[in-house]
Amino acid sequence: MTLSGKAWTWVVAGLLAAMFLGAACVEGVGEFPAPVEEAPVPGVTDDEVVLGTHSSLTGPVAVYSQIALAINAYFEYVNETKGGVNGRTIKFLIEDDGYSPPKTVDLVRKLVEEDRIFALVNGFGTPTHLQVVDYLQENGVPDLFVATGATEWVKDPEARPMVFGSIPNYVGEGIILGQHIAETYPGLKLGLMSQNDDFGADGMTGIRRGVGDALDIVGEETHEVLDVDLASQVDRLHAAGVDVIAIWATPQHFATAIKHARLNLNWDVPFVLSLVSANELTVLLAGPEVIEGTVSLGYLKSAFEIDDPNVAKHHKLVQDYMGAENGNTLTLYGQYVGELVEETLRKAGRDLTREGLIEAAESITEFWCSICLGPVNTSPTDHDPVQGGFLVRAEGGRWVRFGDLVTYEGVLPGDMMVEDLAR
Amino acid sequence: MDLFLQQLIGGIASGSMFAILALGIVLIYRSTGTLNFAQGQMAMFSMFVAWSAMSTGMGFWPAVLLTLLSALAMGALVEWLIVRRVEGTSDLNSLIVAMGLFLIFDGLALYIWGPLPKSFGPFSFFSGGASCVGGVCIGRLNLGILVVSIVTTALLYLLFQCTRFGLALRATALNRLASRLVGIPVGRMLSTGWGLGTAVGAIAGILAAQSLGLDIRTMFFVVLFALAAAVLGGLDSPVGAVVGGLIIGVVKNLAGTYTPSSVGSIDLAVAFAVIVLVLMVRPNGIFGRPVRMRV
Amino acid sequence: MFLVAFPFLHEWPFFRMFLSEFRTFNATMFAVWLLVLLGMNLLTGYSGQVSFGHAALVLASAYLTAVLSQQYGFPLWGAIGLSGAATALVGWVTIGIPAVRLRGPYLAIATFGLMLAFPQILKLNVLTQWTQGALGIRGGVVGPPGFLGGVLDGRAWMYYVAMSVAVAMTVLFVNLTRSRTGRAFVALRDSEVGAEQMGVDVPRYKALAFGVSSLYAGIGGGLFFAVQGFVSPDSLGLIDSIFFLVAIVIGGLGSVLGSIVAALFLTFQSEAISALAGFVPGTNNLRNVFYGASLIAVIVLFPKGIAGFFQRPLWPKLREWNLGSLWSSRS
Repeated sequence: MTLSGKAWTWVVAGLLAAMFLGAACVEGVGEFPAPVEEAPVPGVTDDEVVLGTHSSLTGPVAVYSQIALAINAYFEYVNETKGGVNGRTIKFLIEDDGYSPPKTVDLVRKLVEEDRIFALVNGFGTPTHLQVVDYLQENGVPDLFVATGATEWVKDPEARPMVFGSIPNYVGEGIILGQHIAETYPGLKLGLMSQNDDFGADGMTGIRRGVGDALDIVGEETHEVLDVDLASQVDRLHAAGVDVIAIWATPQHFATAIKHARLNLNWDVPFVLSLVSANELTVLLAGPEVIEGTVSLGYLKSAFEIDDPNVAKHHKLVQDYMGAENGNTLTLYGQYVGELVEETLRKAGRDLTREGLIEAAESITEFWCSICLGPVNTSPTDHDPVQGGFLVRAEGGRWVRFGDLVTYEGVLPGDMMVEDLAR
Repeated sequence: MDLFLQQLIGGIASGSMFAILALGIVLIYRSTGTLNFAQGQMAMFSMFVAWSAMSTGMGFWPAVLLTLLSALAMGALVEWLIVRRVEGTSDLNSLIVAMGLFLIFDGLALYIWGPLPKSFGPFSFFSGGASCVGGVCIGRLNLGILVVSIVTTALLYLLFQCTRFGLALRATALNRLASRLVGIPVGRMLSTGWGLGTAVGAIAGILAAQSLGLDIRTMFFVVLFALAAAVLGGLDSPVGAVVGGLIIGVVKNLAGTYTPSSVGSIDLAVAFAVIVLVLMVRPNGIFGRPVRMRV
Repeated sequence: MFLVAFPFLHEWPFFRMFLSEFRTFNATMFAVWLLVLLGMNLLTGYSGQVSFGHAALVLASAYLTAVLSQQYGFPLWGAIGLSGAATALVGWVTIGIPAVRLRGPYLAIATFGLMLAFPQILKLNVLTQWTQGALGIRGGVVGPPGFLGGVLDGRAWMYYVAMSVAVAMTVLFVNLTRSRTGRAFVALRDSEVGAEQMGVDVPRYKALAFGVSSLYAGIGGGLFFAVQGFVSPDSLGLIDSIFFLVAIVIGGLGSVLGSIVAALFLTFQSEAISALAGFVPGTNNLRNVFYGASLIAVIVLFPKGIAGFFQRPLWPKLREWNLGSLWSSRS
């Protein structure tokens, strides 16, 4: 060893200082929680229940921060007008992970171990939440209504009893849209476009299942999150002579794809898209004329239905409690999650425990939130609250419902999960 | 063959978007040696400025002009106020400044304009149908992007090669000390370099918005390809930036088209493999000057 | 002593006031980042090469550890060691040797390409039987060996393992930089031509620096998997890769203390950013502005990084505060 005494001093002193400063600085300046007797259930006191979430308030997908902010707005509304749930007001802690999984881990562990949240609600993002889902599981922290439709959350409630989905899962959604394609375009050629991750893969699994052998799949294209546009992929499907395209992409990517088809190729191929991109973002990015006629799935009322008293109430709510100009698809979704959490807490009763909360979340029957288009049902074997919706078609920049309520309930989760998702 | 030509056109169209943004990166690199990671977010900021101007009822071209002028001022101001503070310390320090700028412009845009996308184009110059010959099509959107890219490149070429001002800019980039000795106001030239680079970035942004739409993340990934393009062509060569951008656009499209689907998608990996291979042969990019070695 | 007692501090009444068990995890991640950043610092601070691709190396090693331990039944610690060695070899041969010809930003962007392309490679069909595609690979909770079972929980055990590896590798690092090899690195950072004249085999040492740096990234990556218990193609991204470099420049190039400061920076940045907007109400969206402005402020005030400032004797320090640069605007 050639380490001199001085170097040792530096190394050790540096490490020590590092540890101590790190621990003391960040913590020391904040509030000093008095070391009183610990509440038996984390995050629950006589008059308050603390919930938390990780969201993307900054970074490339900052637009989805509106979901967490709308949930918070709804909780504030509940606290103010109803005095909370079962006599407890809801405190909602939102941590900003900037859509970076290592940060999600830091922040979620901080929420659980330091802020002592009772439950995590509506964690945002598949790659980010994947990094913490098992941690929450192992530590028995309820992981309610995750903000993505990845089947990962709902496919095996026995292995992961703590986690619940919130939007129709992507496979189920794909099945419904695939069935629509099979009925509308039998015998034609289908092209698939999807993001090269489990979001896209889940959607395509569903589409294939729904389409069956009614159409020939003649082209399959994938893209990466960091692809700038999907023009090249659309060109390839064009060359393959595709008659209809099913696409699982973000609003930004979908907008480039359909713009390229319409404006650069004069190609009016019908698009069937995931509900993830059937919202105002796409309208703003691509323009109302371009997206005319595209078909997707809707499971909540839309922001433009201002004649509906509950939608009008929603607009008022986000104006009053969120400071937003108007509600949109994202804030409506936020309110839906808020109402679902409220219902779950109500069912869990005054004696809150984490086990009780999970039990309550597993026994929601025929719950209609104020803006829902269908009932929410859950059970110990079904952690997928909404299993269907209405088909919607874009007309003048709005996706308008048509047909009857369709559901994949019964088809899913059950058998398909094991065989189709054994990847 | 049709597919090949179509992919080529698409590659050139998206490549020219990378090229123009890369051009801005090169101008800034030549000025202060900063590898400007913030180029994309600064362009995005300019796009929002254009949107704001137009939402007050201004026409498209006046709004573009206003945006370019404000971008020019913004770039020069950034150089004068911030970049100059770390001048002469280390190239890595200026990289940190660039990352800081990235975050600042990202945050400012979010604060001022909110997270929702804005409706911005395609404007009449870029819209209208497509013309097809056989199975190969080119739309007004792509055509417009190509035309503006070519005009921008040509104007910059004229500025650099045919004006005294351009000569001064080139001299400053080449040798700062000697330029000062012959009486060129070097400081002002550096600010101008940043200003020009930012204005060119704004053009790239407005072009990108035509096909990508306008929101905070529009340029998030474009800039990565633009940086790669600038390096591929040679960081101190404007011609290189354009060539680099086109190569990346075309290679990525062709790699995506002609990889067997059993392998999976690999276009990004191929595009960057090409960059690395080219750099193996030409370590300073295709058109770059070698870095001088000093003892 | 302090390091040894750390995981238990939060159970003591005094420390409980400001320490929670979460800090144990923090400290564990600090050790992981320290390893990665020591490697980065060796590469950039000592041998003068810039890499934007280190997150890809970390990710690669995390994957290798995951595959070896989850699918081929290797013991976790063996898998980490093996992955570290493999990453070192990869870094040395496939990146270090080609990188010999590249300089500064060219090397930075070439390695950046690695980071851009790597997630796509991990998801290739031909590899999914090992990498499981986009869903990633999970590892279970790592418990302490039987005889410690009653004393430590998994969390504390991970802390001890990661921290002892980090301390050991830090000692190794200090020895290395003081050796002949370390001096050769510094020589070629300061001037390649000069180093050559002094008889340093420049290409060999440049590639070697990449190899050693990759070893640190590799060990860090293996521990990353063990600590997080999960790895997916998105686990580390472009931004993380850039911020590795940002961290060491802010921390201070060319010193161990710099890497320590840098690791602190990475460990606490998520919390700090999330809290940044808290002190002025209504500025939630300005978070990134504050963050960016503080990066710039730090680098303007401490052009040699924070460590560079604290390593000097007291008096010149005051002058080293680069306050002059705040108002000078000479051309």
